Amino acid sequence: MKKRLFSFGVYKEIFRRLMGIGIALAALMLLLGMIHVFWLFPGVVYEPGYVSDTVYLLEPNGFMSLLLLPLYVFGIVAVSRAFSFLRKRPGTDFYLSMPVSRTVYYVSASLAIATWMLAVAVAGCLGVCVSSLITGALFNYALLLPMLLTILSTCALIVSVSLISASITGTALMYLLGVIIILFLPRMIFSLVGAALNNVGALLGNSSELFVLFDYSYNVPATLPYGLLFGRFNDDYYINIAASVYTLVHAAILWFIGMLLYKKRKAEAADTPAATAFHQAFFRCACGLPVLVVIPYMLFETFYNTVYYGDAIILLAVSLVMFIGYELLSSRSIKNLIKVLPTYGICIGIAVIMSLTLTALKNFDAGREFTADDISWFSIKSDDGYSTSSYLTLSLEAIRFTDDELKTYIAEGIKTDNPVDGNSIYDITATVQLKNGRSFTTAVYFELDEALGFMKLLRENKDYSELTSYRPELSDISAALIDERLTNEQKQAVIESFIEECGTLPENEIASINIHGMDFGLFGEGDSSAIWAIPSEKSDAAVGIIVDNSEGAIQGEPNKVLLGKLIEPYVQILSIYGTHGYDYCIQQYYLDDTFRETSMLYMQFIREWHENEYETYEYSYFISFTQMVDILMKAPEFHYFRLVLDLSVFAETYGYAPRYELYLDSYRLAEKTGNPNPEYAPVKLNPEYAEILSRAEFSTDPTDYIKINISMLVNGLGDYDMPEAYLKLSKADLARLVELLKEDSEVMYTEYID
Amino acid sequence: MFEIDRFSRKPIYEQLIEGFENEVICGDFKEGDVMPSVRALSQMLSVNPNTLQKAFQELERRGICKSSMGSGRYIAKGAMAKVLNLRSSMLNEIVRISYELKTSGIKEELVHEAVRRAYKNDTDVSENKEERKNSEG
Amino acid sequence: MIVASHISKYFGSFAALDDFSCSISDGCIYGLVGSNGAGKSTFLRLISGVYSSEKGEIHIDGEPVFDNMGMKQRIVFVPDELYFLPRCNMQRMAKLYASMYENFSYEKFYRLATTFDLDIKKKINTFSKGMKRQAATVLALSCNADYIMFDETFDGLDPVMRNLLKRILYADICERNSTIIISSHSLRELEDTCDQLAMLHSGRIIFESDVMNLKTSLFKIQVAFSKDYDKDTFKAIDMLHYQKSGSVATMIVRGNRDEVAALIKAMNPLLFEIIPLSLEEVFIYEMDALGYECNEVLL
Repeated sequence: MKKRLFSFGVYKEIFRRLMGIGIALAALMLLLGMIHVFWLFPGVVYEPGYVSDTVYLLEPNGFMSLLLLPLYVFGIVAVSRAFSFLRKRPGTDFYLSMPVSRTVYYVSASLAIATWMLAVAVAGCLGVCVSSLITGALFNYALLLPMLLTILSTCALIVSVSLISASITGTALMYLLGVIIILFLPRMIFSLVGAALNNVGALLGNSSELFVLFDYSYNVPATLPYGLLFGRFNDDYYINIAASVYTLVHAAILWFIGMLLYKKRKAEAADTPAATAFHQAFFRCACGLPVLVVIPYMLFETFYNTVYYGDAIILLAVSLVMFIGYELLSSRSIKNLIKVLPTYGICIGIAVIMSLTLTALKNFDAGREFTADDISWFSIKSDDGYSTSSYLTLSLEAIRFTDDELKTYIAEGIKTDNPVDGNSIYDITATVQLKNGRSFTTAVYFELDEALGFMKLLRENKDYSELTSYRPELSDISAALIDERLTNEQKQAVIESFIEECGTLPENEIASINIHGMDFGLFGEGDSSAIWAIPSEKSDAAVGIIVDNSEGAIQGEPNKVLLGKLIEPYVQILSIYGTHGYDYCIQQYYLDDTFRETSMLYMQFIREWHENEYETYEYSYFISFTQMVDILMKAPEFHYFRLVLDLSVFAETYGYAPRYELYLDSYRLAEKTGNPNPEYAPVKLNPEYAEILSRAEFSTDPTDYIKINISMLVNGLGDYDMPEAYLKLSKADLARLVELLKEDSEVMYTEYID
Repeated sequence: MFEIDRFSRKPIYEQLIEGFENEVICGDFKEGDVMPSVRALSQMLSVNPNTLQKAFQELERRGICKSSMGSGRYIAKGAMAKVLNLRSSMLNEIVRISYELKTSGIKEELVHEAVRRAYKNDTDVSENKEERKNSEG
Repeated sequence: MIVASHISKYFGSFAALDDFSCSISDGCIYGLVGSNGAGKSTFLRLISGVYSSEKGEIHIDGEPVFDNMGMKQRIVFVPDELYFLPRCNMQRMAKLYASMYENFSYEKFYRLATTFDLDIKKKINTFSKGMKRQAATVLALSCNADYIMFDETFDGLDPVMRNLLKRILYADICERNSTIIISSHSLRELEDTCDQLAMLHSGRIIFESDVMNLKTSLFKIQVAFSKDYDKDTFKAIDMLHYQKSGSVATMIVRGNRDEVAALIKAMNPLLFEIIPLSLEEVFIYEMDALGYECNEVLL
């Protein structure tokens, strides 16, 4: 309690004053952390006795944004309360006449704020833990520390920014304006520069790798609103410890700046918009800047090949209006406005600097080309899109490809520009290390055949295929998210079958790169819990394997990962489920044909469960194409059968109609034949259909596949739904199929092209 | 103890001196008596201690009180006489006032009457006025 | 001892204090009088370290005040617009004061609060305006500072309260030889309390004096003579003001009363009266002599 830097009395007083906002927000954070309780089990509330058939994985990525939003409120309000006296003359005079130095007050108040900040952060994390305990959802407690750090660093930054704003403004409105400007404007400018750079060229293409300033997981508070609006976040931004440290350092620097500004603040600044004329100018320009800087960005957006002067002028006008508007609102004097108008030149100056920088970079970049020889190695950064980075993704990133042919692909791909409409281009992100020592990360664009060729080569690569052929041992699995309807023995059986079938997979069916626009491979495509998916060239099914090497229970019991495991926060859990969503009544999963045995086994168990529980078969299955063919081959009787054939891809070429639909319905048939009891008039399908379909192959070539949907209610077996399959048929088969359809009197509906 | 009249035009300082001197004259403060402290007096009379201090200094200068180390402030020997001496100068005032009265046409007898009344402790002023009226009218 | 030398304090282009100098000795009660905007509050804030001056310096016992925490321990300021922590009571304010002022005495605080009959547990925002001032005064006095400043604190208080406050201040002076500086709009408020008075106008001291001297050395004389006379007759007397109507002359005279009386009597006047002046009158005449319009200065 040395009076030099800290006063316990001030600390106590501020601590007490913040109690209201502190407790309120801690409670809010606690509730938000528990949000999964409210999301996950509506069934528990509405249907007592409802059995949950999935074990969920709590992934902070899903609700981290929620936990971070209240921090804005806390930071801004807490600082406002602690320094409210700065806005009123009597208050300022009071404190300044007291024998407490500004440094002491600032430090003591900051510590009080920090104390509540910690409480709020801990409350949020606590909420998550409680949520996990209540719902039984698995949560990797090793993630707690990084989460806590993220929350703390985010809040610290917001607090520091607020402190600066409080030190240089004198009214509540200006304080808020100051926070917004200081928090968002720098990032906005950098982001615009970064976005412009993205279009400048391949060299600096992926600017988020270029410098932390462009990476939005660093400085979360500034980028969170953007991310929420546009849905763009770095994976794992909540556990990026480096980002948290960066943010904390950033916050600390700003805190010091705030302290210096606070010390210099004069009593006369209370209740005036800004502390000094200098600050006033700062705010003024800051108001004019945001819109103005869009202009240089616009000029470099390759989208606008010609400069639209009209747009630029409108933006300039808007910027001026904001500039003038601020001045008029705060000083309310036109005379003053005229006097300070020239300071707009600062805004113009900044915009000019931006333009010059971008021009320079553009000129620097143009004309850089590589050959495979220039490249030392490259690695691939797989884009999961929206889930945790999987084990596989990270391992893939670690592989350094040195194969010449592959390098050639990369070198060519870099040269390709991102076209205006990116529909027929496939891209990956690669980190390239040049022989001259430079390295960069950039987008690489492929045309379709290049993409296919690249993938083919990739699969032949030793490292790659080793990686993708990795199979977990049963002993490696410490937890499994498996349908809770299975008994432990059944779960064991399913897993064993699964692992066994994994071993039978041919190499080239294993995971491949996610090619933009193509249904090639799934690194986590679909549900966010699928961390490593084996994939599907054959259908939409996906299966996830996740492997965890830590100690703990297996098969459905919560993962007991020790808190000490900070390095590998990726909880890897065996999960077997489908990619389709579930409806709340009954969940059906189907497995890929690749895992036929496993899926049959699984379905059998499920059926048994259903029989025990509900004693009926009234439910529908999603099945795969092969399963469907199996059923058809047995020539069953249907209550109804519907087949939709979509030939739109090459209908024109062959002169077929784009779409055919065959619909067999026992009711209609009954009407036709005059049978009074339709349920005793099941229909049968021409066996030739089954025959032809059994010869179909899966296709990934969009130029020659047909799409087929089948749904049927099989007498005595159940309701089946086979969603779209992409098949390739021989010309003869296809012709015969179409013929059959044309002839079949039960083809209810067709569409002809004129 | 006397009181200070805030509304009088007479400076408080003068009122204090007069007040103490009166106390000496009427015997409330006898020679050798220790005077109350500045602090106590300032509370009692609601007077600025500094003003009291100055008043005491004047009283000391006039020889009415003395202060010495250790024994505080006390009424000096012969204080009474000194005060009377000072007060007797007021007799000259009577001469002056009487002259004034004379020049305004007031009869001598009335002046004597006034003096007599004062010594009878009859200081009711309103009666005086009535008498004057009677004499003039 | 507080010494202000050639202070100038600007707010924008407005000079609140303009080449202002004064010195205040320890142990006295110093009054600052002046109209709004004269500079009283500004000066007090300069002494207590709220403002810093653009020109000139203020020293207390040789040390500057601004940003001098050691010196600020010895200064406490009761402003015109009082500030209390939001929704607090006196107890909490006392804790805050105590944490900053080393010499704060809880014992004195309780005692004074009882004297003023203030409930220290009750929220201050429920107090009346007068009670708030008392609360602020109690808190300030409990800090046991050497220099206590009141900015228009006494203005508008009821006489009983004012009396009580004054007595407490006197006690403080006696005990601790503290220096008290009071500012006010009205002379009457300060007349019987202060030792020294300074009149401010437009950021300067236009008149400063010891109160006692003022009241005793300036007085009104009414004279009449049988023979003719004019102003010159009295050139031996230091006159501020002379007015003759009929045969009666009224003069405002500065000097030793007895000496002047003797002089006049030597001239054998028909009528001779010495009338003491109220402080307000003193000031009005002094202002007049200095060339200021009285209503310009006092209100």
